[in-house]
This record gives sequence, structure tokens and C-alpha cells, in this order.
Amino acid sequence: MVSEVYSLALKDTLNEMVHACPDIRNALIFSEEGEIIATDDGTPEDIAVHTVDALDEMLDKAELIGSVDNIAFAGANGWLEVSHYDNFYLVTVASAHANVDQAGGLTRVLVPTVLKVLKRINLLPVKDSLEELEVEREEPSENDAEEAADESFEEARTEEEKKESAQEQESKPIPEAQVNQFIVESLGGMFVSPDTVRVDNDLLLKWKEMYEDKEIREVEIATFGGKSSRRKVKPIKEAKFEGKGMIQMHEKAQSLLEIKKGELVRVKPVIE
Amino acid sequence: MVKKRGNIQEVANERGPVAIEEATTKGDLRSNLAEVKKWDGVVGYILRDESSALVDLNDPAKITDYAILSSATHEAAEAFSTLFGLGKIQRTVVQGKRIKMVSLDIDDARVSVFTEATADTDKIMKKLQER
Repeated sequence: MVSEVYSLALKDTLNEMVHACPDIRNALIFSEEGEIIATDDGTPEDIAVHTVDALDEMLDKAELIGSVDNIAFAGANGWLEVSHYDNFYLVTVASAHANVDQAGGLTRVLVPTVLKVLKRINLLPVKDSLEELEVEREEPSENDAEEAADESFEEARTEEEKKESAQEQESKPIPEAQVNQFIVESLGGMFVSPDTVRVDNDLLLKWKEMYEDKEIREVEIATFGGKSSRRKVKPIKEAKFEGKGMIQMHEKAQSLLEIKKGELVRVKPVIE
Repeated sequence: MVKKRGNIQEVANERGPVAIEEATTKGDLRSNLAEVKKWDGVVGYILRDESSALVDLNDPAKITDYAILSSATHEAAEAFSTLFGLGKIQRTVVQGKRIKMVSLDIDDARVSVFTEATADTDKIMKKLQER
């Protein structure tokens, strides 16, 4: 599910696009899963739903042609264009006398740029320091047996690695921990430990590279309300949550930090 | 009735004689399609009218998939025409990473031409609209 922050930013973008180019009559964005992310103010929801439905079978067959980059329907009174960016489809409808170059240029530049910015915002370092915030450690109350076994093994291995590299690490300066902002997403299931959070694997790899191949096993999470906590970190498992700037967190952990799904938190790796 | 000529499959129903002018138009369209099919980068076409369908694809194993894509495109075009008041959809271009599809309504016939992604479809559209 795409967060409200994304939806609002994209809705504003579509509205601005329609204002800047009045020949564009309707605009909407939907995900590859068929979820409507945003529409401009002039496009009612039922029209957006019918539009996605109408494209459903075509997009289902898109594998045949190597996935769709663009579709253009040219009618006597107007045209409809579908453009594919990352995981999203942008639909624009314009009148027949529309300046195709202007309208097309606008959509081809504006929407991908905003999508790129939204994607990057959650990975950009934030200047505020977490050092000033109090760090609390929450004890886990229920653990998945398998996950716990994995974690004990990983911890034992970490200890070994720590001993081995302790001396050389003392002499090397460690870069300051990078702080990132994430949108909270709930992590459910019977075997989910409240002590573990999940973030993009790409970010974990980036941290590993940044901190000279140190395995990042824990993160510090700080809320904008001043609460903070240290949690074990693992990569996100579900592909649909990857690259969305999300941190998956057990509801118990959310409750201890006094936050809810959809809120922003600051996260930095624990480098030891 | 089903006729097969190499990769070409023609499916028709028994509907009696057609008007001579219509037959000429269809004849032009079919010969234009046959010529276009020989061009570089063209992988095949599907021609449908009220009474028959003519399919010529390099990969006959994918006839059903291409036919579904062509038909789904036509249905989407009809839906958008109504939803957004676009009028009659005259042409649709679907740009895929590997294949491009151009669909045109010519008189009563609906043509979908499949090409490699980089092919010049403007030239194809122009040729198909020739009489």
C-alpha cells in the first residue's frame, strides 16, 4: 500500500499539471497492482476505477510485448495516454487540439521527477541528530523460534567477528551514522518478533558499504514526539514494500514508541 | 471454415456475398498488410472484420496471446471513448519493451500490426490507410 504522503504529493502534482496545461482534462496514477494512488480534482473516483478496469486485461497481456512502456489512444475528440514509470502508470486525457508536445513534455518530465524525489526523500540523510534523544531498549516478549535461533546464531557470529576485528577497528575512524526517514508500516503475523524491524535490503547493503563492511544488526528509531528505541533490523521480505521508504514494525513496537502506521520516524544504524 | 497458408490462418463464417466496393477495400487492405508484413521489424498482424479474421504472425504459437491483446486493446479503446468522450478511437499504439502494436480501425475492419519495438509505425499506418 502506498502511503498518504505519496498520494497527496502526487495528487498535487497532477493538479498542477492540469493547471499548467489546461488541454489535459484528466490525470490519474495507479500502481502495477491496480491500486489508484492519485487523481486530479477533476477526475471522479468511479471514472478512475473504470479506467484501471479497462486497462486491466491489456496490462495482463503486457508480458507478451516485454511490458508496457506507453500506450496512446487517439480519438476524434481527444487522446488518452498511459505512461509506465517504475511501479506506476500515469494516465492523461487531453483534448484533440491539445499541444501534444507541451502536454507530453510536461507529463514526461514532471511526474517522473516527483516520483524520483519522493523515492529519494526517504533515503536522504536528515540533519537532526539522534544523539540528543533518549534511547530506550525494549525487551522482546514473544519470539519466533526460528527467527530467534537465527538471531542467536547471528549474534554468536557477531561476537566472534567483533573480537577478531576489535583491535583494527579501534584505530580506524568510523563515519557518523546516517539518519534516514521512514514511513511506518505494520509488521504482522504470529511469528513476528516485536524486537525486529524490517527495512529495504538495498539500504542495509548501502550501510554495510558505507561503514566498511560492518554488518548492521540494529537500528535506533526516533519519533518526532521524542521517543526512541533500539531494535534488531532485517531486510523487508515482501517485494511490494521494497523501495517505498518504509520501515515495517510490530504493532507492539509502534505502541511503545507511541506511533501509528503511516507516521514518519527517523532511523539510523547502530555501528558497534 | 478454416484455411491455412503457412502461418496465415483465415477464419470466416458463411454470411453470403459482400458488396463489391467493400470487397475492393478489403482487398486493398489485405494486399497492403501482406506487403507490410515483409518489411523489416514487422512480426505479424491480425485483421478482423464482422465476418472473418486473418492472422499472420512469425510465431504462430502466440496467436492466441496476440489476439487477446488486440481484442483487449479494442475493448479498452471503446471504454475510453465513452468514459472520456474521446469520440471514435482511430488508432492505438502500444509501446512495449520488445514489441510495439499499432491498432487501426479502417472502415469495418480492425487491424493490429505487431512490430519490433524500434520499427517505424508511422510508415506502416500510412501504408495501411492507402487505397
